[in-house]
Amino acid sequence: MAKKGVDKKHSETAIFGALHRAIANKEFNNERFGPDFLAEYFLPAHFKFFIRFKKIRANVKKNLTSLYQDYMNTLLPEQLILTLFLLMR
Amino acid sequence: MLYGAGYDSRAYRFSKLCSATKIFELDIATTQHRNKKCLRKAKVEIPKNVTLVPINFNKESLKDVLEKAGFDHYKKTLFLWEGVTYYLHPESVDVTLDFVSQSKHYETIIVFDYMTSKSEENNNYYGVKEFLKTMKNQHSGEKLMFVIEEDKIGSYLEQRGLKMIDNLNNVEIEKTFLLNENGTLIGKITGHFRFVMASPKLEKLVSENDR
Repeated sequence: MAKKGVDKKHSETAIFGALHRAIANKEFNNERFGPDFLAEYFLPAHFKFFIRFKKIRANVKKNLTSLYQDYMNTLLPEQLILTLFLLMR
Repeated sequence: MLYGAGYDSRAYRFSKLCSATKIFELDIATTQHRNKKCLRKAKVEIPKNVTLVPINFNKESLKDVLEKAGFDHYKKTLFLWEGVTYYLHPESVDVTLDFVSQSKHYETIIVFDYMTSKSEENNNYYGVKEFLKTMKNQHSGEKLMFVIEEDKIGSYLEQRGLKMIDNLNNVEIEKTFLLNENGTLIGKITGHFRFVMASPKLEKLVSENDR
């Protein structure tokens, strides 16, 4: 199946922008940065689930360019439980 | 005016503060469609002063799209253009800046971020290599197409009928926006990103009253 052109797909980078803001809302002083309490509503279901966990949020903050894309984009459902188990140790 | 608004939620979170301000959110139709769907699911009503304007920045005329949507050149306008310019053809960036430069209000401002061109020096700045690699491998559908050479932003804007008010490099962005109260940095900015603020070069002061 041919890949959709950029004007036929919604923006992935916009979703990652919302991801950053959703994590910042959970991690930082809201008075200083302004609480973007709506950012989470724009995330796909699996992102919303992952950012509930402090260790995952900490990893995203630490590796803002490459690692979080690897985590978030390539994590398959069947690896979910194992990955969460490893992160929760 | 939010160009490439994505999932910017300021118009909804600050709706009481902005109720007297007309807000235009521009983005590609597919992102806006998803945006509306998510807002509906969150039971967030789009305020009456917010207009969602679908546009393909690379194909459609900004002037035509905005005028149809009710934009008024004579009104004081803040153009916010965040996280977009690097994905556009240089000609599309020119069209947008040209549109802003034709604003008739002397207090109109545009704020946007951009990337500087890759050089031997900035290739080693924080996060640059990783960012470029990630964009190539993970977001190949959103190619990086536009940069402005380091230290050329002033002349670049001048040639497009705008005057630079302020320009921040990555270190200045960090010091301005990412300092903890104890002086430590909350985070770092990928080394080749810059913020710039500019306004139209108007030959005379023009405001709504001069229409």
